[in-house]
Amino acid sequence: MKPEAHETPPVLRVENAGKVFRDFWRRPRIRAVQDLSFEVRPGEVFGLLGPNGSGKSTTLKMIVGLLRPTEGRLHVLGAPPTDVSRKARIGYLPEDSYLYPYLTCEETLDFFGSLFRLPRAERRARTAQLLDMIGLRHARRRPVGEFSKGMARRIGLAQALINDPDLIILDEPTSGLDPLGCRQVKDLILTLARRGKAVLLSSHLLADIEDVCDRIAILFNGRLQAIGSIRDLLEERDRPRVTLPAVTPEQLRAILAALKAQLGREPELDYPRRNLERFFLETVARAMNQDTEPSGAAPSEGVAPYLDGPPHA
Amino acid sequence: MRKVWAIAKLTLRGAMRSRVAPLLFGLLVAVIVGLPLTIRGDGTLSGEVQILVRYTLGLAMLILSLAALWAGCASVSLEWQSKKLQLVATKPLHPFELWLGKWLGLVLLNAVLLAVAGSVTAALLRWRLREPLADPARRGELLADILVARRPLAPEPVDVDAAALARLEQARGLGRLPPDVSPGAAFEAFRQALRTEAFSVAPGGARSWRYPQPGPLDPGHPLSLRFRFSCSTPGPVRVAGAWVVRRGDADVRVDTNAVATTPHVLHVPLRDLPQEGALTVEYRNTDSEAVTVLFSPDDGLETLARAGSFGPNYARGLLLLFGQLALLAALGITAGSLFSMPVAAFVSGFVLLMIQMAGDLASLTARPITLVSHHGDALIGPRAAVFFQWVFRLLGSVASPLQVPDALGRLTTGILVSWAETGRVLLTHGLIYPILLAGLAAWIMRRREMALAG
Amino acid sequence: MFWRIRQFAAVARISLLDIIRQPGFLLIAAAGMALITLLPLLLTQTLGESARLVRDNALAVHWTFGLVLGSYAASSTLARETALGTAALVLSKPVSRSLFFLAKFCGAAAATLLFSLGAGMATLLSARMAAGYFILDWRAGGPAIAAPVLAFLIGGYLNYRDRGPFASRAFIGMLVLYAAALAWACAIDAEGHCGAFGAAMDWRLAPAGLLIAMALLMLTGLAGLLATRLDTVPTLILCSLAFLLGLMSDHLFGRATEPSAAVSVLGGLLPNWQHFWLADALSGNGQIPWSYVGHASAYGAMHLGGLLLLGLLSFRRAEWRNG
Ligand SMILES: Nc1ncnc2c1ncn2[C@@H]1O[C@H](COP(=O)(O)OP(=O)(O)OP(=O)(O)O)[C@@H](O)[C@H]1O
Ligand SMILES: [Mg+2]
Repeated sequence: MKPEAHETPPVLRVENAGKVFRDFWRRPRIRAVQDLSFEVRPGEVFGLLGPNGSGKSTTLKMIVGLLRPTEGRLHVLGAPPTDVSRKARIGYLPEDSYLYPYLTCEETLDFFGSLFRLPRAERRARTAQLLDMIGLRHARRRPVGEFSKGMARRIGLAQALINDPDLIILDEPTSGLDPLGCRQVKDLILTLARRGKAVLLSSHLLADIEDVCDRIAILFNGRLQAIGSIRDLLEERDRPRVTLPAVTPEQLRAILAALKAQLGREPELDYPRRNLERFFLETVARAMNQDTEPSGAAPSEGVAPYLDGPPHA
Repeated sequence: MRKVWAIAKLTLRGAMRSRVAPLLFGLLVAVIVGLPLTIRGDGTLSGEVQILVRYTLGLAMLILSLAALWAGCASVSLEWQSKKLQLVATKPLHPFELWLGKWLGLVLLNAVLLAVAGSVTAALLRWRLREPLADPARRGELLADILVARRPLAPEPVDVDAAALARLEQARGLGRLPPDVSPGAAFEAFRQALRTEAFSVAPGGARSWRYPQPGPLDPGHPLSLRFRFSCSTPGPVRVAGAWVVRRGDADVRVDTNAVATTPHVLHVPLRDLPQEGALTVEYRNTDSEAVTVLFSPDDGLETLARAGSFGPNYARGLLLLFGQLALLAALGITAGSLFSMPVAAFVSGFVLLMIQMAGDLASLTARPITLVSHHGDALIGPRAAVFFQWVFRLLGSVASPLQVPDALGRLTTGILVSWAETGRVLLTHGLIYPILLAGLAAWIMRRREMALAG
Repeated sequence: MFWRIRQFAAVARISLLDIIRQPGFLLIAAAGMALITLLPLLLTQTLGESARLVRDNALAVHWTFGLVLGSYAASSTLARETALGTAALVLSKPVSRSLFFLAKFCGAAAATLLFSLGAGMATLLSARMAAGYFILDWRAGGPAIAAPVLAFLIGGYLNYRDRGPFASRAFIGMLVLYAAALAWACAIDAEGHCGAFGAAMDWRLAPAGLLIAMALLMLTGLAGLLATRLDTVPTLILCSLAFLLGLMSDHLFGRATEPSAAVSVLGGLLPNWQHFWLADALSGNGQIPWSYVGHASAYGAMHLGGLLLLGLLSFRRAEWRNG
């Protein structure tokens, strides 16, 4: 986390927010969120974690104004969530990509772009860059209705970014994406954060959260269970780990002996495995060189240039 | 505005690609081409024109109206139910703009479909009237009596209320009013009797209709008199009579020998009449038999002056229909933003029914409401009667701007659909009421939680 | 074999429940039934044959509301489920497509018939209420007017108590209350005394209502056929069109002296609703003979069979993308 993050005012402030779903007779039925408070600052990636039905999506929907909190207050970019003009600076990816099935990929992005105050040329350029980024340029003339789940998810992500938002809210951004897409999304999130954007995301994939988030909050039954920076929460300061370069067996034996003499007991030894993500990425990279015309999402790299501009002040 | 247009484009694309619009298009063309082939008219050319314009275009209009209402309801409420609106709602888009975009899309679609229906009908009409198919004499008749635009002249009203009241008082004074007849009913009966009297022509007598302000009359075209009468001798007897049209100190007389109870048209040349002054049309009963001729007080005589040709009138008629479709779409969209799908369609249908009935309601407000049981005692007190009158008047005044001239009926009888009427309908149906409906929908949508089930 | 029947019953039952739990269904059904019940109040202002007017209008309301309801039921249970992917989910289980389609149709048909039952009872009641000259029989008809309101209150109360589905309960409640009101009206005579059971009722309306129910079944079948390929809205539009054209059937196809082939095929395909609209036969003291009802039902059943066969063929070849 960048040191200056604490000095800038928060982009999003949630104060004791609560949401009660009521039935027809206005009697409380479900307490989806209770007494939730947190802040997200520019340049920060904030993760919401929790089991199914713990209130993550409900919280995000309250922030984008799709639901109204029944208790507490929310300040989004300094205004209540229902303020229409602030929505120009927000990007939202819902839990399911609710897209218009009859529009093609390109038309979808163009449509969402035209809901913002963007000149036509800029809209065109961004659409093209986003299509490259999500690897669907070759499918841009196909109707979204016939897309696979992950392909639709990629468009959902692209539409959330078309306005180059300052606050990005992603509800399970990696669900349905292939590992390549996951990696890309994570890179994208990091790039955006580097440019001073605030990212709020929810996910079940702990590895993803760990990779990108600066701070996390864990929800259970709508209540906040833990909140803090990843490093503070996860670091076990009493169990340091030493990584060695390649060594000969003799060198290793000598080092272990020295360590044992120093500590007074046997140190643990294991060999790091390549993780599955890295292995998968390498395999696909190899296959990519042999096959050319993809039918699904094409492998692509990097982020759309307009999203990777100079950092915000 | 760009946002509105984006939504409109989206709506149009959805209609095209979900096959709703092509289906409607096919249906319309099938109806317009197919219906005249299947319906047998009465064999006359004018009958065929009637079928083509009134039934065929009427059915097309019915289909379009249903579609406008349904599509309006569906376009918002289905998107709400399938959560697509959730995504749109997080963009900087005011609900008003969303509404407007949807409406614009539907209105454009309807405009195109109506234009197609209108031009196919016009083409068929033209084809039917071309030389070898249509006997020239019949064709001339048609051009004079149906394929024109004529303006009905407004006669001086016949006021018999005072006379009826006098009779009622007289009957009361003499104690001749039966006890089980309410005063209201008796008054109404006297009124009707007096009106009938005023429009009957005794043997050798005459009856005249006065038109204080006939407006500009084109001397190059005749005045059409459309009349129908019954007579004291039952059955379809011929009655000799004369129509005299007078203006200033000149008059034109046309003798007739017309059959009772059937409608007739008479063309009276205006060439020899002065250009100024009130117009009088008089019927003289010159029959040698002693028959009395009765004209219906309401539609016994229609005096029609030529006001233009058929083509522009037809176009105005279509514009009028278009205005109605625009309102239907607006009604549908608003209902769709308030209720979920079938309920929305049902509610908007119900509102439509109420609008139709409001015309009758408005006519009720002319007199205080009297609800009388069959024993003759009033069912509601005078206070309540006044209250109901106000309620009905309110309903009537909300809905009466929505009353629309029957465009198709006029086109098939050669009556003018004026620019004033067209403009008024376009203004109320195509602008004012839609904006009110849009405001209502936007106001409610802003207060709803979009992520809850629609 | 037995488990196929059980499967069929399960699918049909679920689709019936799904239909009658929709607020739209309740709204249309309740409005239709309540309108029929209120007809005597609305129409007795007009002098003359009020009984006849009430009868004709009640049958007409039964017919038009049933039309909307039948096509809505069939298309919502087929088109909507296809769109939502639930159909694909069920078909991924060992359920044959033909069975699924027929069971869905049966569910929709059952919903339509339930409405017909209610509308029929309401028609009998309002005819009874308007039977006298100029005087409404409040004693016999009053409870029927209270029935819809009471049913909604009961549905609301049950929903409040245990959060049960409101729409289906209010609808069932209406049927039960109408049956009770009918029994009450049967039990008393015009003076309010206990008479011979049902002697004061106009039972000639029963075959007339039955014929309309048959026609509604045919429309439901048509809607089912259309819904295998079309969305709800186009289905409803086409059904209304078929209804209009079928109503004009005699007018359109009968009068042509030498009908062309296309016209006669179309005329044969479109059900001729005139066979099922016999309100005029009841004028005076006219009766509808039961043999006629039998014949008309056979005609209807044949038509329905044909429609279902087409629907089956169309449904077997339908594909789903999502699901
Ligand atoms: N529209 C609604 N009406 C009633 N209850 C709702 C509604 N939306 C959500 N809930 C309830 O609120 C609670 C929290 O739901 P939410 O969708 O926020 O969970 P989540 O943490 O996003 O779960 P998941 O990991 O499965 O996405 C659940 O109990 C859910 O049933
Ligand atoms: Mg969720």
